[in-house]
Amino acid sequence: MEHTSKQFEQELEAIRSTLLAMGGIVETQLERALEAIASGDRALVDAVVREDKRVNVMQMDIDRMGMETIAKRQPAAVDLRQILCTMQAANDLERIGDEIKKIAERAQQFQTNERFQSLRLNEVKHIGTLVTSMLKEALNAFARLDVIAAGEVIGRDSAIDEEFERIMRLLVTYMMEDPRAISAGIDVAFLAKAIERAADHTKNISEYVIHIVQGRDPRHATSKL
Amino acid sequence: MAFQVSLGDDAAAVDSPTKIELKHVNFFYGGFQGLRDISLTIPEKQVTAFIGPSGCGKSTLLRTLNRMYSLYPGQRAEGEILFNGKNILDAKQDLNALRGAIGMVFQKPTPFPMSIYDNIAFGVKLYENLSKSDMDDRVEWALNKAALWNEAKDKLTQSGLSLSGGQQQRLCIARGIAVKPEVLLLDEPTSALDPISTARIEELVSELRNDYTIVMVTHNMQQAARVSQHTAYMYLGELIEFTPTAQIFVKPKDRRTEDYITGRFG
Repeated sequence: MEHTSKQFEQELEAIRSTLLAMGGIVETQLERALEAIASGDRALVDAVVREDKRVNVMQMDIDRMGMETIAKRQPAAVDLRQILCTMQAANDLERIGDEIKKIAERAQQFQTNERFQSLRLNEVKHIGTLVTSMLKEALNAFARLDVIAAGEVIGRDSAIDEEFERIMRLLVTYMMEDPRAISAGIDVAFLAKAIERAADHTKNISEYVIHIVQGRDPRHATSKL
Repeated sequence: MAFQVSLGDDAAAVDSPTKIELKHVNFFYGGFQGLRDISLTIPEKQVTAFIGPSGCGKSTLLRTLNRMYSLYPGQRAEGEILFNGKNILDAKQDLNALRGAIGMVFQKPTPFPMSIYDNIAFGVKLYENLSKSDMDDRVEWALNKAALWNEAKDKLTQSGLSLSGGQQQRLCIARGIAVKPEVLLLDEPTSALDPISTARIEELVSELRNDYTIVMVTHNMQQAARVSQHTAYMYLGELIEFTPTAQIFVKPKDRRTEDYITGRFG
């Protein structure tokens, strides 16, 4: 059912659609950054850095709209959860944006080393693809308030963590074999870490979907006081 | 901690003993049924709020709790309302004693056209025979409890009507508690007041719940959220949901409650 106040309805919709637009930009940013790793294309890196400023502004917009609506309407129940969780999701998207910027900037100054060249192209690309599809699904789940899809995304985070561990083990092996490769190895480690962090934030966004719809906070579901 | 106190205190909400228990209460205005099969328990020394759209029966329900409706012909209640274990709907119930134990404050301040002192002493005299100095103490005590003493102590002989609206309402609350009731019924106590007077009354309600069981009808949902520990949502004479306040404004159980508190009504 719609709100008696159409204006309130429009305010909630504006917050929601700004978040989805922000999500769309961050998705594109991630694809660009991963492409930049592969190609080292300077123009892509510039585009990522430039667009990140837009992402930051959108987060501030969502916070401002959320605060104004809370002050004006004193939202309750599902409306309150929707506004607060959207503000939090915007924060996570902004952090994903920061990780992406790190990835892109590192792609520029990459140390060349043949062994890591293939690692970076194959392994990092693989984990990057996993996270890209995870982010896409998380944003779809948020748009449709689809709890089942959100739950699936949350489940995929552990696969990312395992993938990250695997890359780390590989890197350690290579670096032990050839100390000259350490510098390049650290570069790849940072890349993988940034991608893994992006997945953590993506998981958060999916958790907000559950919180909005069910009113249950799924964060730290297994931890007890 | 301050937050817990303001938005329902879950631990308190669960532990408190029952003060009033309603069992299958129906209410009729002549041929029109105003309440339909209401059963709920009002916990002791807590604030219970009734919310719902106009005409939903929340004020009717409040008025059954001290049988205020008995003043009007053609109005009758069925079922049981157990107060300290006795059914107050019983024909043998002494209404004066009941209203001494369950006091009421109305939407509009209703001071009697007499001095501030007499506004309070009047009710006390109906129930107790106090000496002048004991009565002085009682008046001071009640005005203190109602957070009005400092403003009124130098003009106790002036008319109650000379006070501001917010002060008048606090005078009515002082009058209500002066007879030392067990339960205080508040029917939209702040709807005629400005925000500052409202805040003072809300503060007072939170204080009073240390000593009294309070039942309040309010149109202001944020007020229910701020001062009550339990909230009942009513619609068309039915009790839709009765839940700890901390829960009802964040995650109500019933879809109809959610629609109402989020403004998706009608």
